[in-house]
Amino acid sequence: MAFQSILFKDPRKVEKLIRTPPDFFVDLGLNNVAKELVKGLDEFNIEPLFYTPLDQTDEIVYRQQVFVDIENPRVMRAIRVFSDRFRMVLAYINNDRLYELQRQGLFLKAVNVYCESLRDLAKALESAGIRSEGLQALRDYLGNYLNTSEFNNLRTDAKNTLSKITSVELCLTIKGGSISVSKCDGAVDYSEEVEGVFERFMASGTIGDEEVSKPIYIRGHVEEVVLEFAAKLYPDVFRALRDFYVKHKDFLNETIARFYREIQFYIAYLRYIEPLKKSGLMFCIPRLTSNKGEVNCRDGFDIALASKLVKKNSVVVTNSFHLRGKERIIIVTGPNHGGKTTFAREFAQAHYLAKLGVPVPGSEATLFLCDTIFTHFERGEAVESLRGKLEDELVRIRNILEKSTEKSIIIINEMLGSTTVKDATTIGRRILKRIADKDCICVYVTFVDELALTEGVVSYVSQVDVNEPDKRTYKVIRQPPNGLAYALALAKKHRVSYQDILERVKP
Amino acid sequence: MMLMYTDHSFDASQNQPWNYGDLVRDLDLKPIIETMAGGDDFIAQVVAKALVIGVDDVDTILYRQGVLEDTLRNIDTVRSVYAIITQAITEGRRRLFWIPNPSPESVVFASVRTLEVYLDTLDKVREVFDASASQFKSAGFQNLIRSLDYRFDRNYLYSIRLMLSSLEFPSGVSVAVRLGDEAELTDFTLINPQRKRGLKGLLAFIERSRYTWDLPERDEAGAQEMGEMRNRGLERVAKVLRKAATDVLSLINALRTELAFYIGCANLWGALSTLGIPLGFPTPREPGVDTLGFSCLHEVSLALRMKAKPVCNDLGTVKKPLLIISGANRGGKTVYLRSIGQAQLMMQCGMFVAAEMFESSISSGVYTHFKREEDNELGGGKLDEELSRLSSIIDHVKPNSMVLFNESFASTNAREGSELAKQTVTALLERKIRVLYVTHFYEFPLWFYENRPSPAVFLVAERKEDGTRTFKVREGVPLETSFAEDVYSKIFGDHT
Repeated sequence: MAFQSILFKDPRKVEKLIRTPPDFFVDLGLNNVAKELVKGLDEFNIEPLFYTPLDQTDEIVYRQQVFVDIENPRVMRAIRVFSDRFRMVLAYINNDRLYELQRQGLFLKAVNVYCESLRDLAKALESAGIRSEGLQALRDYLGNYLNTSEFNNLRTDAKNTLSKITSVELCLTIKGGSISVSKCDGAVDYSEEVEGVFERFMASGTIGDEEVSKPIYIRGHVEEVVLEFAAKLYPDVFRALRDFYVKHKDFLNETIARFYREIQFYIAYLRYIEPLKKSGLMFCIPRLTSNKGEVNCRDGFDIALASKLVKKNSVVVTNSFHLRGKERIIIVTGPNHGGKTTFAREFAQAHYLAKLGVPVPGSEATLFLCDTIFTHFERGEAVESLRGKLEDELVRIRNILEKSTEKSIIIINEMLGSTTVKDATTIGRRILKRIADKDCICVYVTFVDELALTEGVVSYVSQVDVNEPDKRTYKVIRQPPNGLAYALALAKKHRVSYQDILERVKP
Repeated sequence: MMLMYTDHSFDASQNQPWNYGDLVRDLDLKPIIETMAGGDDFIAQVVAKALVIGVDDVDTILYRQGVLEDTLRNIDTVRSVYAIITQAITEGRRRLFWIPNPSPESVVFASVRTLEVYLDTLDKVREVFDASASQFKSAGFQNLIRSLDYRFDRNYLYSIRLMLSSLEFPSGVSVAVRLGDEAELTDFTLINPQRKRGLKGLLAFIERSRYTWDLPERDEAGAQEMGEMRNRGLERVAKVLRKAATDVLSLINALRTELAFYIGCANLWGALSTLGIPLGFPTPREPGVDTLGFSCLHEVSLALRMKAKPVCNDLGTVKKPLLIISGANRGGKTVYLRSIGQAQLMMQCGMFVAAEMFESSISSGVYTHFKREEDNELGGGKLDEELSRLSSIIDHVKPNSMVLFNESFASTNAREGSELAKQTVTALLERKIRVLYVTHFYEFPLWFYENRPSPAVFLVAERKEDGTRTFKVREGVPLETSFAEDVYSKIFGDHT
């Protein structure tokens, strides 16, 4: 099949993009991820791609394969270089602030960069051993295109015109408000003479660039005047430039331009996860399953939080999760600020990202191809009375239960905080029963240990280091709930005990 | 400019050490700094840093002591050089100013002016020193004089001045350019504005096709563009000139800074000798041996505040890493601790000390942890604050540092306080850190006392049979009780 789109195996889908974020985006922290991902990419309008999960496995795999290819640094570099150059080309030909001769000159540059960028991309794709359907199709398409006489004429013309232009030399004298232009006669570089006299000062280090601001290169009407004089001094050269401009006005290939726009999705995502990977975190291409008892992720993490922490050079704690056989519901308990919510987000994010066809946090993952994700998070504002709060919570969970199917994922974060523990246990168990009846996958974060003892659920617990109760580990581990939490606080807080001092002061 | 180090100059722009505030407050450095400044703000800034940013090698300390001796001997010459430089800088500040991110063209302009002014100044300084060169014996001053003679001899200054006049471009800026790959003007190369042409060259010059364009009035965009074209031609020389101007300026500033330090020292010397306090150069000992000894050591700030000669203390040279000073409250323990801290700082910046004799191992940093009288919080918060200050010290200390504790951990009860002190001190000693500890605790000193061989020297604030204090501190065993009752009865006048 001829190459059309790098984003969709069946490009008719491009019309069906969703333009607003899903309801759970804020709860999962994905709004921040999307915002940062598209930073500086307004012109490509790739935001909807992050709001539009794919439902077909073959569409997901089409993207996953491209990501696998791009993991190859040679392919990545080639695509980045291509993208940067193509962006320059577009900027050049769309520049409308220039005067005639300047515009002709910039057009020449645009065509030269364009030809080089295509040739380099083709060469890289040929030799890199790519496997993905999408990139293979692109490679074949490029191969054909570069052999057309249309392309070869364009390239030869551009090279010839360029060598004429760069042979031009001029001598300018600026005095007061007048500038005069002539040909040069082997002028001597005066800067060298000055450097010679001040050589003594140069011995100790060089001058930093910041101490003399870089001259600004202005392509204004004065330069155009100089070019007009140059055209009088070198008439043949400038005639060739004009002819080139007229002849090749419509040189851009539309399929390649579309590839350039679409590949930004991949570049943006990889650019986003790059610092995370550098900090030692792992990403993987998940396998998608329709068997809930196979769900499994090793060394995952909350991608939004990790991105924040890595910027601050803080350590990111990874967590693994899995479901076996009939297991559907995970209850997360443990000390506050111990990473419970983060764990729940990690679980849901992985499933959502998998549906975008992008690599997910973790060293290895099998994820359930869900239809949608529902989140039930505490709402800070709006409700005044405890009763009102409980009402609001239960209405929301009821709506979720009504809309969800056996393929949905439900994330519940600290529900029933406004009731007694006894009531929270009873109500919580009833809700769990309803979820279990639906056969939904659910992650339920709660302070009620008793819920984790409900039959049929899986218990995960956030951890506290007994020796350092103040320090949170953010590790969440599959184990029975432990009531003790962090009662044994205090001591060593300032790290100035005998042992601490010995550790902190290096001998 | 090589008066404070053998190979580089003192960096007056460096930050104060993180614990500058603590040092000034705990060791009462303010009167010292003010006396050194003698009303000169610049000297105040310099000595406020030099005093606390000591050096940790014997050679540099001795190098500075030599320069200081020269300064004391030739104080009039040194002051007059300082005055020439200060005047030039004040003058220069008024006439020249550097804007941030200056364009090459303005850099060329300002650099040419700067060089003209300050090269004259250096010329004058060199003449003053040349006239009395034989009076300066120290390696520091000799290096300075030699380097001025070498770098700024008359011939060189003449050739620079000649070039500076042509860099004013009386006949415009000429550049050679090429067209780049987008037909843009590129590769701007400056051409000698006053190149002499032969007759042939002149004819070729006249015959060559030449097109000229004049900027219309009020064409500001065009004026800016032309300005940037000049900038592109001048970029390279701008960097050279800026470097030269910056060098000359920093040389002038470095010289001013280092002279300021020594003039500050001379000011303090003058003030203390007027009070009849013995002054002398200390003997820095290599780090690691924990040597400390002195005779008739004065607390300098106390003397300056009292404008009198206070009690002084002696310590026969000891080689122990721990000094525990206990005894009567208000018995002079803090003054004693301060006097050592001050002398250590003064020694390490190359200064004299207020003592007949002082010798001490060089420390890699002096840190203070003093009880804060004005902290009126409840006990818990206060201890919290103390521990957090200790933690900051722990962040910075390293082997061969010196830490002065004054009634630390007194905000909790004696048993807990003693335990904290014991753990802290034990760990610091294990890391080869010198500790001087003033305390009224009993358990803590006793623990070190009974642990033989003890790493500690024990000192007590002296108290006579009749209960009066001499404000002297002598070697002795740690006392069992503090003298709080004494203080109480003195203030309230009875024992009940």
